[in-house]
Amino acid sequence: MAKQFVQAYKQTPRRKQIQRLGLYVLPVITLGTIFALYLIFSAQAATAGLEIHAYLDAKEELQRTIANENTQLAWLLSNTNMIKRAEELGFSQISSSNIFYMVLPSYPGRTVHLTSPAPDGNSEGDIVLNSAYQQSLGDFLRDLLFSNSNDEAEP
Amino acid sequence: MKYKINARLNLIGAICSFIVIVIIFQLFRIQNSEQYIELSEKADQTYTYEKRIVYPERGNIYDRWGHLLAGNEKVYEVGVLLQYVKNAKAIADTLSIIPDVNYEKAFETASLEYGNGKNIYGIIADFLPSGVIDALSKIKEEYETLNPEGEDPDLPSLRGMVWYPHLQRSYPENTLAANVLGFYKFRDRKNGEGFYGVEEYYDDILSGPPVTVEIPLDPYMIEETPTLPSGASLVLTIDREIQAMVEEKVDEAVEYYKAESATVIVLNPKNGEILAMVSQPRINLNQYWIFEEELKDTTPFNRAISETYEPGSVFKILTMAAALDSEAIELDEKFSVGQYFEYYGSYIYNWNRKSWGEQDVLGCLQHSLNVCLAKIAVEEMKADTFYSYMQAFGIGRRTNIDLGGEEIWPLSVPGDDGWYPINLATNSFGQGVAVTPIQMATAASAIANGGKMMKPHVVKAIIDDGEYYETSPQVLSVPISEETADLMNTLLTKSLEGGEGSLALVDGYHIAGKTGTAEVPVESGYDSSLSNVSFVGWGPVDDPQFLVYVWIEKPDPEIGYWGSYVAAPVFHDIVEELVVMLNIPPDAVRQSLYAAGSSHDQTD
Repeated sequence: MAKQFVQAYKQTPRRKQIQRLGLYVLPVITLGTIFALYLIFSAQAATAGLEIHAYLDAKEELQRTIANENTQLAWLLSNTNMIKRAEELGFSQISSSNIFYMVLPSYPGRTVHLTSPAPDGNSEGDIVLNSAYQQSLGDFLRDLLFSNSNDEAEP
Repeated sequence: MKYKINARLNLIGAICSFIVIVIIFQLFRIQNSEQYIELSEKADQTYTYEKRIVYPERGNIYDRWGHLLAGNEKVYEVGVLLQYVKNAKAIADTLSIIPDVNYEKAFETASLEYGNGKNIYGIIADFLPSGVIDALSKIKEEYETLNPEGEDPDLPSLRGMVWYPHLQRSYPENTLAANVLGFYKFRDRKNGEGFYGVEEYYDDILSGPPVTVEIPLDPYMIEETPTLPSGASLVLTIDREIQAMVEEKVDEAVEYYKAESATVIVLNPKNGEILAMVSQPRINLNQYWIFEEELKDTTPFNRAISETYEPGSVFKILTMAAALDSEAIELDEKFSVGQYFEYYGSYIYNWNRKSWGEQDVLGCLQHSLNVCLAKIAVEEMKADTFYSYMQAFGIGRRTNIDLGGEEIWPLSVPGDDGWYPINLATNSFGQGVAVTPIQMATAASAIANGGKMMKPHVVKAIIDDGEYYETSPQVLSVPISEETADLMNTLLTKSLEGGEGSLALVDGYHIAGKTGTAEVPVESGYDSSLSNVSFVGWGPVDDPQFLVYVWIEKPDPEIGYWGSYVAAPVFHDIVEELVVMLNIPPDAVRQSLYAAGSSHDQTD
């Protein structure tokens, strides 16, 4: 059977040509596949990068908005406004002789309550980028093939 | 034939392989050539990163209960991206409606030629509230509908006009506690810094320094943004309600007595916490740039810490405390108080220029007798003892209160160029010596607090990175013993109840205090037609929880000249409301509550 195949190839040079052509085209197809993969991964990485940019901008805007909202709240709760509101509701200043004082043993007294939270210190850090967003396909393959452990960074 | 075909195929294969090898070789060669590296670096610098200055959010400032006194609000910068400007006139026309925007300047900016060196973006207006931006956005949209892409030069278009948000310092209470807070020069976005008060003293803590960061424009080079810590926030010892109440009383007093100004400090003598600090004038911190118009000539931003003056008779409490503590005099000692006391050719008179006969320590304080105090300082204490006590009380030294702009007047002591023997006599009753209100209040707090003089401070806690750090009270010095302090408390309570300052008394509360009236020094000596009146008092005497220092500068003498008639009533009005705000029951009620509380504890 094998001899018949060899014989058939020898009698039809066309097959031999196709075989050789195939051998030349194979690396081209391989390279093309690699480039295609590279493009796909690069496009995905670029999209992710742009999204992260957008998220960082949105985060900055949110921080500004939070600071602004806190301050606007403080304007509404300012001493002048609160006195005005109290007067509108019919309250007036009391004198010490009209106050009934009593001991409340478990009452801890007035405590500090921040009407607007203090700005965050950012110590928790910003996003921790997955290294995949920053590595090329070559880096990825090298890591995959040559690293001993599956040590891809986790977000 | 077969060999020919094979040879051709081999030749084509070899040529293709050669071409591929050449391409690959060239790729390697180019990518490692010097020119490529140089160009690549240049491109990286120009197109890969955007340099941006990031200003960390400035920390908030709260009162002692957490009410926001200084925060940040969002405002907008409006500018033009010159590349996209289609109609500079329309932009200038639209923006010139905004106050402070000049049409010519706006038109000039919007008309700049794009590129041409550095012309890419121009700022036309800044610090605009979101309401203005909403209106601009609406107009821009309308114009865009009317004139899409701004193609028709005869129709208006706001193409190229953009706005960017940023934070601006904001003071929701406007003028409240302005003298304590100081202000942040937010209009100078690059070099803004705190001026006066807490904003100056804690500038480094409140604002992290601006940081230049490189933001990668290449999405493949996305990096984590650097951690920029926001400024720490401060919780002050100031009580917003007490501050507002005292400000109201001060303003009323200045108006009523037609005084030049008034200053009041309310502090807790046990720990040095400032509950309120008020002086005049006060500016609206949201318009800090007009402060130079408001504070004319040499008017200090905060008189309580920056203006020195001769305190007059309130100073006598320090002299008397020093005399008793040094055992230069005895409590039951009698002093012959004549019409005047002659010393080194100068004459010291009592306030009414009359003789007061034999007086004991209480009488000298109760009637505020200059002759008595001068005699005690000169004949009993001597200069060395007197001045060492005054230095221990912090006279001539900074209290180091945590506010920007504290000033002092040096205390002249024997041996100094400006010191003469008569100074000892005049200093004993508060003339010829200058103090700031905070120095005087701090010194008096030593008597109220069992001899311990606590460092005055306005910051109660620092909130940094979400952590709350309380500040610790510090003892500045212990100028007198606890026994002397107790004795002085008794004397000053009695002297107030039967003496000149009875208008300061508050029903239901035992208060210790002393009035002061000082002539105003002028170039030729003293102007006896003008006075600086003051009152220092604290209570409840058995458990002092507040000390109030009142200084009214140059009241109209036709309305009031003496501390007992001008400053003492102001003290009374303040304390009457202060005890309610501090939840201090009348003495009798408080003692019965203590008794009930202790019996409750025993039952528990």
